[in-house]
Amino acid sequence: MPDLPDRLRTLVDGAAAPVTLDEVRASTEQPVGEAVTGETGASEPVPLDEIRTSSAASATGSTRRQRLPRGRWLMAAAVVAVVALAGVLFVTLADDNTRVEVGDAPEGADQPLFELLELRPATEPMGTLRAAVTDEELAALWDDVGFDSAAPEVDLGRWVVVSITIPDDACPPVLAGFTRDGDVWTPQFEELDDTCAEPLIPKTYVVAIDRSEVAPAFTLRLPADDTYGFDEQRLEVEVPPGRATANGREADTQTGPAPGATLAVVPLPPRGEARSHLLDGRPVWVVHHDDGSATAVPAVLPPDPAAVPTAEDLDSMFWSIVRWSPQGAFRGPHTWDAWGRALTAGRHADLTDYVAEVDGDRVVVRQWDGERVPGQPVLPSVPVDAGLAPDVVSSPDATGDLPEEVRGLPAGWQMVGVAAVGAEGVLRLCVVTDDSFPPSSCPDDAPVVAGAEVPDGIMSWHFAPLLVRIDDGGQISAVVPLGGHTVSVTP
Amino acid sequence: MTAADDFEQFFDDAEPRLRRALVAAYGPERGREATAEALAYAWQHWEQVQAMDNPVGYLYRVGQSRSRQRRQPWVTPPDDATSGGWHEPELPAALAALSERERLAVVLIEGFGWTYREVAELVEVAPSSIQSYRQRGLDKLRGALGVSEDA
Repeated sequence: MPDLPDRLRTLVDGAAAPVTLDEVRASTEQPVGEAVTGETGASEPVPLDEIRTSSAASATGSTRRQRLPRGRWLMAAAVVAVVALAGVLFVTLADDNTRVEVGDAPEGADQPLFELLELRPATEPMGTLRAAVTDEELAALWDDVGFDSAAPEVDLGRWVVVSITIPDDACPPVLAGFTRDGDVWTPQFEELDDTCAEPLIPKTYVVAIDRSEVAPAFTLRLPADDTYGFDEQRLEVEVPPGRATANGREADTQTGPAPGATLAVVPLPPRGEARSHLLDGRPVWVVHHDDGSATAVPAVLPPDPAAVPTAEDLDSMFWSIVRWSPQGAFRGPHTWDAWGRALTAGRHADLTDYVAEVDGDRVVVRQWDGERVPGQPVLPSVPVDAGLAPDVVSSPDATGDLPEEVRGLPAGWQMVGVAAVGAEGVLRLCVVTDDSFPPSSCPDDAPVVAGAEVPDGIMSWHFAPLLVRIDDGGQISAVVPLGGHTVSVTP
Repeated sequence: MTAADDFEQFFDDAEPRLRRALVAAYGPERGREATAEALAYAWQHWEQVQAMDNPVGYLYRVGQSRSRQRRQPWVTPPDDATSGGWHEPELPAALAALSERERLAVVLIEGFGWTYREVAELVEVAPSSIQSYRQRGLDKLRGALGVSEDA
């Protein structure tokens, strides 16, 4: 299709006339000069007629579906898991007019108050509240909020499920708790990172609330938001008696970590710091907390084996890197606190692969098949993105000269997002750019990717997080691919 | 130079990039409307937008988030808009059959010479993913148009 470029340009440019500056100016209420100089006072908010229209439509229950972002698979897979684990969140109840917060569990309180089941970009108007107390209502709620996966199996004898759709940007706040004023429950959201500058991306939170705490009826309340054009929302929910809970509930299923086989014994990092190590073929973060205890969490997360990549979901094939933030958090598909407790997803997404025990100046890392990390999530200081290791790095050409970001990483096993190029039967690590794509082969002295077989006469490019071992001198001495995909062609 | 001048300069550069990207993703009508909304947003928030590292990528998401409020299918343009020198009227339909990202990658890279990284920054995915989207999109186009890989 040698003339495809011309045809595409004709198609796109011919079908949509350019937007003019006058058109933009005419559509807004305040000139930019005034907004910047402040001559006419504070900048007016963006006109949000459409959003108001959408909000007003909430009564119709109309929904639209949309594709989910990267990381969807982890949330989706975890939805099922969370149901089975839904009895062990330690956020607790409090008296009326009391704010219930994560990390603020009264002594002796061992019953969960709520559980975040799902958090996704919204497909319904902001300000929409929904509730389900029966299986049929839950199925309807799940469909109404526009989630394209099957509704989770929630024990509605113990839980009531609500959905809350709020205005937000690309960085979802944490549902930190609810305030209770009589039977009126108001969700409390806390931003993790106030530096997240993103456009409007409303979010829907689906939350299970302890049924015994809201029976026989409660009102879910969402305060008005003038900016986004919706009034105070109130949803009155009748809750028929369910199975005995609260004081009469069966014993909590949380039994704490169950130490298993010892995987490794590694040096104890300085307090407040984390170090990566290679255990059992995979990198692991070991954190030494200020209280002297330690935590071990995986530094990479595998793709969901149940996920079926689609044309629009190629990223689901990739392993995800979990990075340590010096502010005391892990960042990856979600955000976790320093103990691996999920902050931006339900607790089903806790990092529960390992348990770490401090033994003098060493840390014993054991296998753990625990269901979630004990204790309350701790909100880290913000911003949590500061100091993170680079995600995807590149260099000017396929020279094998690794970029400074990689060479600057601490010694040890590190994850990098560079590309490997295979030729003449060997896959080597050298960095390529789009400008030089497809790249030529890597230099002979470039690091070799272990275990990768590339047939002679085939040129391959491997895209994935790669595990590299960096020596004290900053040189890479080993490269291990952990996932991703390879594109091969015959030169 | 005033803020208005700065914005005008930015507008001249950003408008075609935004429009082409949003039209490629969402079709002519919705894409153009999203472009206008995104640029209006930029005008009213120019102080913040001009300080961004990737303002076009940001505004793409603004247009994207606004257009989500009224999602509709990718619409093929009318014949009269594409008839000039057009010998394959099935191309618009073939494009419409691609996924959003495949279409975005094919149109921007093949049609307008964007790099993988530029497209990747726009939609915040890895350049390697864009390369795959482009390849799959081209394969589908070839299949739909009955064109061999060598063509």
